[in-house]
Amino acid sequence: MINTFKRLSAVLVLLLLLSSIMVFGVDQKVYDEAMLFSESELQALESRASELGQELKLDLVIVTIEDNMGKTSRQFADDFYDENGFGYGSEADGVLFLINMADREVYISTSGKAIKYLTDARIEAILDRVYDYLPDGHYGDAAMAFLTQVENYVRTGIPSTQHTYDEDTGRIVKEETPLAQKLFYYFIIAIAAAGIVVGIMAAMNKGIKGTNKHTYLDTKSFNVFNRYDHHVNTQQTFVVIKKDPPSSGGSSIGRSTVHRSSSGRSHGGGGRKF
Amino acid sequence: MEVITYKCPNCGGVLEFKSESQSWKCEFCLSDFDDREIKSIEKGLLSEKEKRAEAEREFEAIGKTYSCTSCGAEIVTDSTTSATFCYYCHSPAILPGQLSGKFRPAKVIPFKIKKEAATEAFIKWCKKKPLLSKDFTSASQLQHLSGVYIPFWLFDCDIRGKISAEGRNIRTWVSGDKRYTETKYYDVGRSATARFIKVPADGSKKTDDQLMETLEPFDYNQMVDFSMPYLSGYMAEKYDLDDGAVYGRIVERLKDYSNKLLRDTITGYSSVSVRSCSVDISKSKVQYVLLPTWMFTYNYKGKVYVFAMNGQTGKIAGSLPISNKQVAAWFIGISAGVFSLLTLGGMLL
Repeated sequence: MINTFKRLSAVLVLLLLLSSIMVFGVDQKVYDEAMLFSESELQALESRASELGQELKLDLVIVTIEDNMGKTSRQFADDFYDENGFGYGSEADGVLFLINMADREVYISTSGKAIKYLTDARIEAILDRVYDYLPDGHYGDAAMAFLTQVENYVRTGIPSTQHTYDEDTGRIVKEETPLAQKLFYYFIIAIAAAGIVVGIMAAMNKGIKGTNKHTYLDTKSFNVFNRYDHHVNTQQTFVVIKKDPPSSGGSSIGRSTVHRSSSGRSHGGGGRKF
Repeated sequence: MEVITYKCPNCGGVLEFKSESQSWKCEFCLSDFDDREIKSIEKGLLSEKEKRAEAEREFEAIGKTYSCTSCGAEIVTDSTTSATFCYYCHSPAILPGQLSGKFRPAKVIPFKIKKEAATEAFIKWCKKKPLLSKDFTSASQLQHLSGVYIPFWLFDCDIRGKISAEGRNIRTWVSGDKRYTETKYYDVGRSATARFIKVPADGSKKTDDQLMETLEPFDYNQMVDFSMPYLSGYMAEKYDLDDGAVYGRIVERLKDYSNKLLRDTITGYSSVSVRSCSVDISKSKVQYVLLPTWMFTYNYKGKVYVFAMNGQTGKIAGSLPISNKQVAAWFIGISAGVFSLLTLGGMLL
């Protein structure tokens, strides 16, 4: 009797534990393998990342590791993101922040829409902010700073000079207008063309006047007997021509450099040793 | 009031002016008479008329009744008709009383296009219209097709005009890191005189002014001195708007033409904005003439459509009805075509 009770309660506890694990399973955003965060920091980061992620429609993931599995920070971050199926929408929109204690590196990996929001310049700026917390080991604050900075940039919007540069091919990726939008434009043009042609045809149903200012004019009689063209004023203005920023190497304003990860997906990102 | 019908001296049949031969033909004995011959026939008729004029003066005071000289029936017309046909025997009837004194036209352009040719030309014109319902020419009924001489006033006018405008010349160039724009402003003025010759305005209240304007231009080189025989076989109207009444329209037209001519004299600027333009118009000569038109009245689906054709040049005026079905068909066809072309092109590129 007591045995069955004990058994039941054990099963119950197990079930409870299991369910809590399952709840966290897919929706876990913070993976603190290197144990850098305190319990409270973990919870704060977890809730902030989920909240923000749902609001901005970007998966925000924070990972800390001691063992880099023989990969570079970039490879690890990209693969971790891809293999765990993070990301919103068909493009897997999201950002991953990696603190790599094995190589003492921080790395940010972007995917989908986040590539556009976080240009190379912006990533550098985020790393600058985060860097301040690293020497003193305030890793929790560093991760929180990361989240805050990403939020700011996303709310600001995609910069107008943004363009995506594929470092593997060395070419700028052309923005493909979605098919729906293209078809919409074609539709408008088609209607406009049809409208113009039908308009002309409708006008043809009437007779048109065959006379103009010259029809009844006695041409020899037209005489300009007085004319003047007085120059009264001259105005000069100028505008300074803006030079386009140099695009050879380095990071131009608005560039998002992307590469292909092992899974073949496009990722942007950048890192720094500390 | 007596009516004149020109009769063939050989057989007594009626003579009508034939546009294709520019002469008068007798329908019965097929005799042909030219200009000179018809004038001598006319002289003979008129001298006879003078003899009877005395007797008829009493009737003139009372009222106007016309009777056909061929069949004796009473001819019914309105106050402006000066040539028509007897409703019973269809003989042409010319009413000389309507064409006397100030109502006698100075000139006339005789018909160049005959009735059958007019109908053919009209049908051809209709066939070229893509938005016209296919059954317009067959399902519609030609209510009336008549050759009518419409009274016109031809004005010769002198104009004196002045225009003042601001002209701008813009130059841009690049020097160093700056793009310079230089704008030169000019005060521009022009004064000119000109003469417009034989500008027409129709003098009949019944006819649509816009319709008549669309028939223009007439070739005045073929205008001849008026004589009544030209009206034989056609209808004719005398004016009920005198030259003063129509002068307003002429002024409007000439002002517009003068403005445009003056504006044309300002050249060599990147942009011109007109400040003011004033035109003075003075009438130098007015002529009352009769010009030939074919008037078509069609009845299609309960609505009446009036078309006019220039009886000398064949130019057609009037609005054809637009078939909604055909509009839809063309619209859908073209938009579908353009759309598929673009989509295919988009895919290939």
